[in-house]
Amino acid sequence: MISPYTTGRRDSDDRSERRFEAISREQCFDLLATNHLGRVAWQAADLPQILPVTYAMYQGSVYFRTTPDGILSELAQPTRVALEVDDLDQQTRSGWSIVLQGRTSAVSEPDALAHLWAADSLVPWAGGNRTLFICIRPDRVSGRVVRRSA
Amino acid sequence: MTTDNAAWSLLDRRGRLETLDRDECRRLLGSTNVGRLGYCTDLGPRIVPMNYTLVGEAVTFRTGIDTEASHQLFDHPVAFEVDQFDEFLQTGWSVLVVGNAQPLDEESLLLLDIGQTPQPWPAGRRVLVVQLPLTTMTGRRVHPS
Repeated sequence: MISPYTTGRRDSDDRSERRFEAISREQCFDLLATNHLGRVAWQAADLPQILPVTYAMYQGSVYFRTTPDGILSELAQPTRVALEVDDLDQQTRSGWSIVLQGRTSAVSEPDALAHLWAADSLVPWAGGNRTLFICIRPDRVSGRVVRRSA
Repeated sequence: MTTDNAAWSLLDRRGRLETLDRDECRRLLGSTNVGRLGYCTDLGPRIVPMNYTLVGEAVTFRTGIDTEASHQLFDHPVAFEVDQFDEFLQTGWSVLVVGNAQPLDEESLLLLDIGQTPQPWPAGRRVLVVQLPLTTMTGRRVHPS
């Protein structure tokens, strides 16, 4: 990982051909489970929003935490969202990305909450009173990789 | 910007969230060349990673003529997000631009320097050059605790 304070990263000069390849559904879920940082997109009022979240997978759904009064708390109402998770490397001009489309809800089941409060990867990086848990139940998952053609 | 209440922050050893001003957002947008485009379809929102360049006061990227994005880009506002994170230090920043995208006409295309043209990583024809003006631009940074 490159420090977020570094600037002026440069592309590789290697311009050999790169192509998209699809990632299988099973692999998509494996990658979702081993990563914890994604971006949630949704249509808020009139404008689209994209915000980073730290998330965890639990029983096939995505969960993240937020403040009850922040902008992400809109998603406590059932909303269509897309979650994107990727690993893109400017140096090698390659990487993968996964997009999960689904519908959100606020988590209220005691069993799920007990599990989620204990999940390490769900501790948000920023401080604050992040007591609202949001679930994204997936409808569709797809992924693709960009790499140098063999 | 924090939403701490006093009692919670006594227990809290986590990072501080800062709202970034426009100048800093613009500087960060110019520091990388891959971001994520968000747009809405009838089936819900989409996000796709995109190579881009910052040309003047606009995010500039390329797409194919007949892609899903090319059909959805110009009817409604779109979002473009750029971020960089360090998972070990749990720090990072993100910048979000929201506005109406426009295709670049031939005359403006000729004015672009070679170095200003976005260079997508994967092969393929992407003749449509699109600009998203920095109409609404917001950013946040999480500082280490």
